[in-house]
Amino acid sequence: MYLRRAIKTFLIIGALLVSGMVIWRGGEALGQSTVLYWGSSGPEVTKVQALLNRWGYYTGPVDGYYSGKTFKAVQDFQRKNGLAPDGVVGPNTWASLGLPAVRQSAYGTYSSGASRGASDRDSVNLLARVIEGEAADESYAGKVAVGAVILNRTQSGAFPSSIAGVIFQPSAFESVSNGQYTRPVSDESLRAAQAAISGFDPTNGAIFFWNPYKPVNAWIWSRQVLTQIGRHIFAR
Amino acid sequence: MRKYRWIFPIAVGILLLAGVGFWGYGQMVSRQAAETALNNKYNLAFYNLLNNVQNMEVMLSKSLVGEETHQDSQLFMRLWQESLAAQSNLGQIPVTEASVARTIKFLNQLGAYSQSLAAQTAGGSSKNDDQWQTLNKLYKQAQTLNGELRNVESSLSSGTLTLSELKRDSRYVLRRAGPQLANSNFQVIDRNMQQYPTLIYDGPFSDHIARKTPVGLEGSQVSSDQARDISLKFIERRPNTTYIANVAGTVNGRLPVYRVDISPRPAQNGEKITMGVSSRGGKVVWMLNSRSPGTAALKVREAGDIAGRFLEDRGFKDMESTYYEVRDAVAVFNYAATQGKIILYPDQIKVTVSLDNGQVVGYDAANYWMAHRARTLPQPRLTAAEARAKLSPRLEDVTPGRLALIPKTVDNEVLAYEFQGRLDKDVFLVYIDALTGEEVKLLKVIKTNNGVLTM
Repeated sequence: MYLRRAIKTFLIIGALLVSGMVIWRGGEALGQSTVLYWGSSGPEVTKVQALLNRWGYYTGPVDGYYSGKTFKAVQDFQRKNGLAPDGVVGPNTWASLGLPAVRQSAYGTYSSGASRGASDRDSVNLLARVIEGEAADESYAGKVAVGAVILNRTQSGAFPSSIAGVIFQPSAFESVSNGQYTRPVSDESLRAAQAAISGFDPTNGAIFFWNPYKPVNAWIWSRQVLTQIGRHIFAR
Repeated sequence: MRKYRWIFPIAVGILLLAGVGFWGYGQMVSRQAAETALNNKYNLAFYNLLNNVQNMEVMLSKSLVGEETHQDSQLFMRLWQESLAAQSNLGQIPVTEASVARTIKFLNQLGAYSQSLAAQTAGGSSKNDDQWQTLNKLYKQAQTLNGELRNVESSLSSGTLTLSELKRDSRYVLRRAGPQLANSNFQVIDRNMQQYPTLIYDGPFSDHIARKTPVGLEGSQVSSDQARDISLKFIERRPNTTYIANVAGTVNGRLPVYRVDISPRPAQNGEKITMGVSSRGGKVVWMLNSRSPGTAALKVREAGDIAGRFLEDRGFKDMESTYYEVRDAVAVFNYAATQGKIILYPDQIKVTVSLDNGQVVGYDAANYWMAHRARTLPQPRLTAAEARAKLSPRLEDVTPGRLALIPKTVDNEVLAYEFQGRLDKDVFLVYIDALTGEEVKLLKVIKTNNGVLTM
């Protein structure tokens, strides 16, 4: 009697564990055609949240977890786009989001689409993302200052000479190391990035900045402090 | 007693479950960290590749115009380096070889070709007509490649594509980028991320050149009270608005300033003005206005007039507008000082005008105050016509030429003739040393839909 019960319990727990693992890992192996619903998580959800956020449907955090807020936002989006408001991101909803599940259809229309001439749009976008990640709550001048630090680093011999090189230098920026910088970019951060690229430097040539209210490496205080803007100290 | 024996296996099971859960959570966190780190590596390689290809495009187009062999040889050396760097960056992006074979081949060819041309031109013999044709072909290919990469970049930055995703179905990769953009849905995805056609014009000489001390600033130290008064005099005032200024701090460094915050009451769109006033001489070095501009209503020409008046009202005489760029709803105008009829490119001021109501929302005179002074300029030894004879015969619509002072290295300025000319659709600025007749600088002007032009 006792033995049977014990085996039964183990079997149930085992089954729970296995199914839990399957659910856990299920999301990541699949591509974009995944069906997303309340409880889903992963980069696909982040993508949907980011899009809905930009279009004004979604106001919650873009964290990759399909929660009630995401559910409501998806429903709103579906209603506006003439889809059944079931709150599930299926093939039709994907298509309406501009990310059709079937990619093959587009191959025939391939064109080189060469845009003529160079531009610094890629640098502006990259810079804006790091500014958003590092200084979202700072004033406009504080945002421009963070952008200026990145640009000053490209000029300094001690750092990589491209903007991408500086930004993706391992553990140079917290928001890049933890993936925060992929958040949607605010209008102000974008303008700050443009200002920094066109030459504004409220820091007078700083190549370091840090938040003194957070634990930082003591070494950093040996640098020449130039100024403080908001919660950031700028130094070179 | 015996009845409750079954509790033990359940307790053990729950403990096990908790243990596995804890372990699993740790695994998930470290997996995410690893994925982010990997993604950052891919991004780095991709953006560097973009940079390489863009540089290659600009340098190739310059090589079509350059005449001087030792300048050419430097250009080809740099092209060779860029193509090597581009290959190594491309190699780090998670794509299958098959899909980028064409690109790698192109980079290889370009590298080998520029290497041989570098050797040839370093030996003193300039490129012949066939070689020019080949370069022209390579230039067109680099343009196409640049365009394709840029399409991938717009998917990346709008978040519809991540590089680790590329890895999952790398068969499609770069080939996929074209159709993605062709998708009309894609164009509305993000207004913020729309193309910013701008000018990278490796100048004219707009980079910060690190001078040691500002030579433009004279006079005595000003107090923070004086700095506040200076800043209040500098701003444009709206009627029925009071302006409250506060010295928020100082900024040390090469050009020490007081940072002054000014808040208008009542404010428009959360408007806040921040200004740097030099502690020596009390000059406004920069000004930033945080107001978010509305939809553009002004023409660029009207905005340009406003920028010009803004400078005149603040005592800048003899400034000349050199070029402008439009970014979203603002236009940035570059001004350079003049002496006699000679334009002084090191002494630059940038004025940003909002195109919704014509307010000046940005002002940057750091370069001006670092460099400006009355200079004793040498007499040119060449006439404009003599200098013009040094230009590539392939350039068309060449301007008569004018004298300009350009920065060559940190403390070395060169008096040169500036010519503007055209090759196909590309516009170039060529600078010929007015004393030695050497070609000192070759710039490419990039015009875009937003009407960036040299004025």
